[in-house]
Amino acid sequence: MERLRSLGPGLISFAVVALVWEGITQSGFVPRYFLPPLSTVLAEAWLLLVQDSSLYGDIGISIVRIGAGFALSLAFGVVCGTAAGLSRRAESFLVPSISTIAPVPKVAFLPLFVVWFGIGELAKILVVFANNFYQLFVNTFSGIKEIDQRYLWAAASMGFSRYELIRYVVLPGSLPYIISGARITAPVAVVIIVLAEMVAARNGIGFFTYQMARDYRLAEMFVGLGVLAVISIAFDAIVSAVGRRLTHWEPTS
Amino acid sequence: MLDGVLYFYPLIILASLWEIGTAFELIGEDVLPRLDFVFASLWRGLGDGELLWHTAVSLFRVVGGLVIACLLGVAFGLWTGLSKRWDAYLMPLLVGSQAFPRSALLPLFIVWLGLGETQKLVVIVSVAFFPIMINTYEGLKRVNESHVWAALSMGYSNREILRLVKIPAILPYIISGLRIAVPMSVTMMVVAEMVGAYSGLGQLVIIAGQTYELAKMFAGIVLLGLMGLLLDRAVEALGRWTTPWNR
Amino acid sequence: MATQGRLAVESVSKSYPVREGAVVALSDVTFDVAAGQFVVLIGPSGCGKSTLLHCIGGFVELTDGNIRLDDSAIRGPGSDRGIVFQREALFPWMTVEDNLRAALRPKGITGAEAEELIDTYLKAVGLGESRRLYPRELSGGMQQRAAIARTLIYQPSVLLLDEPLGALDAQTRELMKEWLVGIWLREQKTVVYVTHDLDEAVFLAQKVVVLSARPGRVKRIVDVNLRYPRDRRDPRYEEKREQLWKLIRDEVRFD
Repeated sequence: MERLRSLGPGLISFAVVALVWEGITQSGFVPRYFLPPLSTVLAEAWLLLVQDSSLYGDIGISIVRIGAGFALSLAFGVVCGTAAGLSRRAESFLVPSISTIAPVPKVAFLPLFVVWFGIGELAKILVVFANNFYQLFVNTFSGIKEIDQRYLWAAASMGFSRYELIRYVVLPGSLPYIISGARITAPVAVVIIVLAEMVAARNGIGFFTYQMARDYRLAEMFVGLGVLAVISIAFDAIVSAVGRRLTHWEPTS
Repeated sequence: MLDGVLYFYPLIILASLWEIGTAFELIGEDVLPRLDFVFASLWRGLGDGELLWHTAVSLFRVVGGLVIACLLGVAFGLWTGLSKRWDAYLMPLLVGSQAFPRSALLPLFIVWLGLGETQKLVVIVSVAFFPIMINTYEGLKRVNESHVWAALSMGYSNREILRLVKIPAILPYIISGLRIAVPMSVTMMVVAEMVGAYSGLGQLVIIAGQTYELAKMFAGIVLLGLMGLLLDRAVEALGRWTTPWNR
Repeated sequence: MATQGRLAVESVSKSYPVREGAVVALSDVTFDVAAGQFVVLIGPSGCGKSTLLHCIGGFVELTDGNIRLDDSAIRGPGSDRGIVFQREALFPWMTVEDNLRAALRPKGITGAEAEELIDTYLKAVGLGESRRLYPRELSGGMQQRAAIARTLIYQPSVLLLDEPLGALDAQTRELMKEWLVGIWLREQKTVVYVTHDLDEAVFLAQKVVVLSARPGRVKRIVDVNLRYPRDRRDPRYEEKREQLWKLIRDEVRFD
């Protein structure tokens, strides 16, 4: 009951927005080519997502791209970050080279990737990778650097081998940082795929949304927007849930 | 000096490999342009004003967008943060709008606003607004209660306390919101310029890619990197200037 | 002897609403503070002693009862009561002297008159040299001294000190205790002082109000009639300490 009450004002706000949207479009105050009525959008969603299933191909391909780019950046970020965190030599090579490229907006590499690999999947996956790698590298690296020195001393005095040290101290110690990096980059992966699909793609839900906008089919475009929001929320929720699972000893906020 | 050179040794190695590989045609010029050609292109482009023009246009868009986002973000943050009533109604809407990958709004802005400067500014504002607003809001929620109480004891009114205590207390939060907003804004600007613009570094890079002028493309990428760096440092300096008490 | 700063705390109760019902922080607390008296509120953690101080400050509304200062009921904060907190009491974005300047502005004191006062009070707390520094650049003890100067400068008749030495290291705390006695003897102000440190209570107070564990009630009022500066080797000093410890120890049991 208490929970419901605290949700009240938010629900009212959303209802007001929906009503205003419907009202100003149905009355013709805002022309339909500018903003379709909410009911039209919902009807379109029913058509595209329930009656017809052609959109699922686009949705699927986008999810694959997001997942692949995200996984790639996670794998490389953690490996490079761990290397730099554990070895001075790796640090002295990786940190200056990676931080030099860091301020470049990574989407600017998209045309280059297209020149290299054509308009296929690799170019888009690489853009997500390029964009998210830095955050994951930095988080892993600083996560390792921030491990309490006393844990390492304790492990050393217990006689841990190098493998045991990494497995039981370094990895769990830096895991909260890695996970927070993953949580930051998860929604960004969706953002970047949408951008990449607008610039260089022939399919995908971002491409669909862009295409519908260009054809002034705004109801369809809004359906695309909604689908993207669902993908983004779901992806974020999955990453958060897995993260909480993996760091079960951390206090949950 | 020597320390600096030593720190950047991996870059020197990578640049040498790049230059040797391309100069001896171990790497085709359709893959990587010669590094010296990149710098020549950069030099020429800045000299004849072409690159300089594109850079200036992009910089103007980002800075303009950031300034507007800052004004709006701080205003909304203060509004929601200070008013209990509006807080409950506005916050869910603003957080809900966050769920959309905002890059997906780009086509909508093109439909609504065309390809002109207004659209570029709105696109940038749409991403830069939220981190600034949410940080202002968070900052207000974390104002140290004892500072407010101390000021009340001295005899300040609530309105005066906003200026005396709350505004200075949220300044560091606004600055860090701005620092988050900068790379997001640059990214959105690049894409907005790629999908529909007649000028700007994003447009330059994508056209250069389509015409296989890789040296020019890299020149554009270098300039974008410099712009990102410059903006980040500028915000950092702004932070030092506005909040000198933070170390 | 001070003529202003008489406090009367009359059957004060305070409860906070929580998810289920309410937490009673203070229950029927009554005691008096004479003008110029040094009173220490002591009790186990969570007994509501800080809450009581915040009620006297007027920052927190009472659930029941009354607090009167010189016969008029307290309604909200006012510059007749100055407060110093355990830590970060100063505005971190102002230099030490700007903090003091800010305390004078609502009184309409500016210009040369303000500068003179700032000078006097900074010298009195031994911070004449550090006036242009930011609080972060001061040690903990210096920060607390500056905070006390900022409170004294606008001449409140009551000084509310909320564990002012709580965040300091043991040696600094010792020095600060002696320094506080000196300041109080000179300024002749009413002091209400919250702590959980027994030695602070015996070293500083003329009157100790011992509160029980939650909900805080007055368990006993103990007068300490020893001459300042107090001598810890005095058997009566140890006696008072023992007496207070016995009262408190029943309240702080391990469960």
